[in-house]
Amino acid sequence: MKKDFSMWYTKFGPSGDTVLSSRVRLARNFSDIPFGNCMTDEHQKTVISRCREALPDMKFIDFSQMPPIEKQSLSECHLVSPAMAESQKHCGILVNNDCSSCIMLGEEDHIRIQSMAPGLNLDLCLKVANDLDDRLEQKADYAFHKDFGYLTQCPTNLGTGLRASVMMHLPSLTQSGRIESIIRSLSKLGLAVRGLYGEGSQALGNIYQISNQVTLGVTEEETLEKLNHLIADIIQKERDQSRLLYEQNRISLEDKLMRSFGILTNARLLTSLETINLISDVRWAINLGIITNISLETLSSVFYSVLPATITKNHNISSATERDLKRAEIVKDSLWAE
Amino acid sequence: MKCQKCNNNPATTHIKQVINGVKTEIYLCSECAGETPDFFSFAPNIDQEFDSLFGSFWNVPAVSKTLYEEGNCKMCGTTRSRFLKTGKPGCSKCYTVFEELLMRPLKQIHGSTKHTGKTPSQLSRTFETEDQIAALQAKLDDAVSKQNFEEAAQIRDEIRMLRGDVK
Repeated sequence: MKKDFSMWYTKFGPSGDTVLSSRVRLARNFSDIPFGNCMTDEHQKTVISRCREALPDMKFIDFSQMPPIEKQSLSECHLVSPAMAESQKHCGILVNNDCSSCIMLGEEDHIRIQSMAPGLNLDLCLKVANDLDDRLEQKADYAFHKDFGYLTQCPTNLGTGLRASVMMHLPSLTQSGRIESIIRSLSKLGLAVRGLYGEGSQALGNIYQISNQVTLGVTEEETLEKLNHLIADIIQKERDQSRLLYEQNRISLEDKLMRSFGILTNARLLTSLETINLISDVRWAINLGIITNISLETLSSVFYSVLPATITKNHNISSATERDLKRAEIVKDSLWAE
Repeated sequence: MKCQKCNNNPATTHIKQVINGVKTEIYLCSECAGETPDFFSFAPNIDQEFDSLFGSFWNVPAVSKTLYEEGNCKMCGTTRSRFLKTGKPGCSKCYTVFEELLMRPLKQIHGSTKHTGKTPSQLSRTFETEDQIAALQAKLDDAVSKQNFEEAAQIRDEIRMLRGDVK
């Protein structure tokens, strides 16, 4: 599979300086087939064939025929969940041309419709996911309960089956330490915040994923409205904090970010963890206007092309050192070319 | 210290993940750190922890346990005891079979037990008709109690018409 699965990610979307991407996921099950934990291979085949018939314009990719490294690469690009990438069951995905819609068949639920968009655009994601949902429900009856809504294997997804999330880049809120209280507040307001922490307490790549938790008793529109309001507020906080930090520490911040740029474009070996942090600094420098000759689109496309499984798959790499060497080479070539 | 993933090479990378204030830590060798497929969901024990925490929602007081012993799901074979242990239904039918066991945990998880979002279009028409019938039935009872038989007959015909729609 030579296709570049991260292509929709590399585009610049609304509020793209702070929001990397938006995603909506709808969990659905057919009423006449047991859920994932009680399913046979035959059941799984029925699910797949029903969905393929309902959406003939989407491309089906069979996971049982796919090498593990390709599955991991799809997981890195957030097209499938890590659980799906590791699944031994008969499963697969349906994707559209630019991979902005991806339906997982045979994850925890029979059907997980995912729609993604660059920047902050949850409304578009929901619209696209709803259209796919409407077409799928023509094929067979969904598992639905008048009071509990769409029935899912895990009761935490019951109701709308909707998980809406945005991936945010928040370097200045992280550096100033304000992120801690923001995370606590969001959590009190019913939102989940996930971030990966490296050495010390700084988030890896300053990237956070913010999503709704409650799915029963709220409509899809109410869920998105709440997220949109809170995300808009965080975007403003990040922009204000960034400007403030730059005004107060102009030279030291420029020094820090340009040093990162120097390492990123000159290093001979780059690990993925280091690269993610360096790219975060360069992204921040571009937003502040310190670096002007590199676009955020280029940076995003470099980011996704050097993730461990993707780089291993695309360049037939066998050792970690070889991978770090290739990564440094790709980063240097792409960024100097600008 | 050895890598917690391969248990073989020395650990050189220390990763901490915090989700809603809950910290998980892992020590990896350079090979495994590089291979971590999704840097948002690498934590190996997250699912297990979730399963065990989630299972605790369904603990019922020992005295009432006998109440729950009978009645397994006929569609997927999920037993009451298994459902109470995992909190995970095996099929759509389980939600009806174990409905009364679900109410309290659902209220605790979502703060609600009533769906207000999207409904599949086919079902949405059925539900609308059911609601109309229920409203008419109330009117019918009222009319009968007031001995307003002419009105009652009219309402009864309306209900019959709607029932025909349902089928």
